[in-house]
Amino acid sequence: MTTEAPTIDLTGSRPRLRRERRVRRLFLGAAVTSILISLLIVGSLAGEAWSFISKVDLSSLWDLGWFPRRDMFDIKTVVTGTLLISLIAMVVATPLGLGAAIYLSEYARPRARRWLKPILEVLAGVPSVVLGYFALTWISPNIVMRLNPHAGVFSMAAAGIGVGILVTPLVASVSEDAMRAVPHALREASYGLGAKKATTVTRVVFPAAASGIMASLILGLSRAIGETMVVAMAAGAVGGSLFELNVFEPGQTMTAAMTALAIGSDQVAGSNNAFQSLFFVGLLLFLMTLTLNLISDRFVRKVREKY
Amino acid sequence: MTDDRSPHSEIRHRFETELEEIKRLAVGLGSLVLENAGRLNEALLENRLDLAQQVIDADDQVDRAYIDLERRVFRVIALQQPVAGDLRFLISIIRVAHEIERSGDLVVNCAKGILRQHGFHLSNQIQGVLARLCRSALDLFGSSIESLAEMDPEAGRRLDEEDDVVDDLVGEFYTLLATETESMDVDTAIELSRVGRYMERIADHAVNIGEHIGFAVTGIFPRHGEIDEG
Amino acid sequence: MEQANLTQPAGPAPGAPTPDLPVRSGGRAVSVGGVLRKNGPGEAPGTQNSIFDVSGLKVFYGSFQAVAETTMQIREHEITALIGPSGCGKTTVLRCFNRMNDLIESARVEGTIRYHGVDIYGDQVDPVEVRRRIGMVFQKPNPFPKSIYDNIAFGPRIAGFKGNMDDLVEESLTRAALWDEVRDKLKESAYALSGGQQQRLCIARAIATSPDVLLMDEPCSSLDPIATLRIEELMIELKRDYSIIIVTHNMQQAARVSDRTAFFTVDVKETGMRTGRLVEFDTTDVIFTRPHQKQTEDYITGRFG
Repeated sequence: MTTEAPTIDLTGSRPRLRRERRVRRLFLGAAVTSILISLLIVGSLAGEAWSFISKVDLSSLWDLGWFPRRDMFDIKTVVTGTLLISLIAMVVATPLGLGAAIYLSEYARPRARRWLKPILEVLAGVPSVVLGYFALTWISPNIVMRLNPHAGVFSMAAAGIGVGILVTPLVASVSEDAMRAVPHALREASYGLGAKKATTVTRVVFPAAASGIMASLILGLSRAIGETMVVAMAAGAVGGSLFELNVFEPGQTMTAAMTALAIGSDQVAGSNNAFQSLFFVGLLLFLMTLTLNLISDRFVRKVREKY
Repeated sequence: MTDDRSPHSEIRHRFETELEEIKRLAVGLGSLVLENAGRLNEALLENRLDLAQQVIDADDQVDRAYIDLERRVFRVIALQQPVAGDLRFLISIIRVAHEIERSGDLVVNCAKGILRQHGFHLSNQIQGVLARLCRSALDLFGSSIESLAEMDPEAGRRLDEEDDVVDDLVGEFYTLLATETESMDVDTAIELSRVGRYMERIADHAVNIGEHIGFAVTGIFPRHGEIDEG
Repeated sequence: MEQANLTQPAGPAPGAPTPDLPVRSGGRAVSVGGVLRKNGPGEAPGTQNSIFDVSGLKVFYGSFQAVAETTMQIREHEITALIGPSGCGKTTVLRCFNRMNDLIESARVEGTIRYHGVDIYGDQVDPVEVRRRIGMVFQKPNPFPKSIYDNIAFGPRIAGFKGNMDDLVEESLTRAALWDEVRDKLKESAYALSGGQQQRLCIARAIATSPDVLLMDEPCSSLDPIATLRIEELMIELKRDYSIIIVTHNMQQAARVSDRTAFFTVDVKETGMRTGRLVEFDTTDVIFTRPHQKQTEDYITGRFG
């Protein structure tokens, strides 16, 4: 029995297969590059940070305050500063952002959406230095000092509120997307069961969008923690600061501390320790945001798994 | 709407073609029996034993046509799930086919009677009445097949009226038969009375056919003297 | 004509539309396949056991008229099917019964729908109250992303139910023929169920608020034939305690399941505006064996669109 030659060729063209392999390698390269860059960043931070830790007197990490020129590197000062300001920022951004998102997603008529969204976007586009200036010249006198007449022009509260305003559009945008992604069928089911609009929003839409909303808050918090300009301008700690828990006093955040070191306002000629502490703080900051991202990731995945 | 008519109407078209074909076959079945009945008429009145035998032989064809028709109707019902007018039409075709097939059997029975008697040798008088009886019964049957072809809703009523004529003729035939019994042998008399009966029943089948057609068209099945349902 | 007392008024057009099919006069007529029914054709149309009394209903979206003037009565403890080609307004009409059309900005409803004697479009009526008493099941199952238990409990909770929730959940699931399948996984997500189960869950959820009417918008169109059959059987059981109105584009389903069927068609004007119109409304038996309107016959035999 003679074997017949196949009448059709299904093997595919060589050049096309080569092209596909090339494209795949290209994308793989992009992914690998991103990973390499991240490793590079961590590596550069870690290197200098380690050199700082090994040289510095460890007792200076727990001191009265953050005064790098005087070799006082009280970590808890800058960390608390970051946390306090971020907390205030989230206290401002969460209700404002979520409220705007709920309104835009559930209540606004198409006409209203058309001019409300652009306004939010304008707010998002305000440069942080402008916001810092706004914090100093308006928020500080009109809000902070009204709340506490003893407060000075510079305070963590003013900075916190400023950062909050900065972060609001981000929270609003992401959580609005999350809510709009909730299928309309769920709202219909809720109305069909005799729910009022507010009930539907709080008991159906909100929970259904929970993971997205959580993500928006964590995103906002990350942004707040990493904010540099507003705090550098409005939080007020120039040349260092004491450990401070009163938000109406000036304070120092990790980011502002790094800026001060980097642009040299805290630099002391010859004292290398001060400069290197920048890397140490930077590493700390990085670890903080990394942890936050991992938490949010696991949280989102947990919520997603459930449903 | 015009766009989504094309693939849809292909199925539709085939369905309607099938319905028309079924009607054509039903009319064809009726025509077969009618033709055979004509043969019988001639055989009866001219004592043609050869024709009588042909009548009997032709019944095979009638049976085959009947089975074929029924099969096609069942197939359409199973595959197309027809409703309303289409459903009534198909159910009526089944009933009508059955009536036609029974009529065909009655025609064959008459022919068998002729063969058994080696022809009826009748007086002119009785021959005359028998001829008129056969003529009117077979005409009535022919009329019912026509009403099938035309789907005439009035058929039931009309055929019912014309059936009165046949009934009268049957009565006349039996009366005559009773008076002439002495002059013919018993077997012949019995056979002739059967023929009269068969003609009467063929006429009844024709009336039924008319009523089924009426039902197919209007959805109403008139029954005399019966209580309304629902 | 003798047909008069066998049908519901099929539309308020002045001068009732004359049937195209010849009707025998004289002789007593028998309805074909006349299966005797409790609310059979012999019963005179009246409002004694009607749950909805629709009068002069028209629906507009802005200036576009979706549904032409409609008058009909829906009877209690029956399954009423609304059938017709797409765009004929059957879903729009269904959603009028529980004021779901209110959710659409441009929707405007004229006419009255009396429910237990009260016009649900009256000035004093709160649509939320209407929807608590009239349940709805949608085309695609839409359980909440919550547990099975919480899905069922949702309606009663927001209505302020103070009794034993566990019992209520069990009862609702039992009535929806789902209890045995989910009794051990009430706390699991509703999304873990199959399509057919999810739809029964939605039915149980709707039942939990103790409505007396269930509106179903093509409830089986996204389900496989076996799941469809189970839901149809369920509908027939539920008929005992509820009145059901179902929109379906599956005519065999309407024929299998419903007691009365309303056929809507779509009129297209020269302007291109498509308006739905009720053509005929009668017992399902009559609609599928000898409809009075040629349009109805054409649609159900597939000769139309």
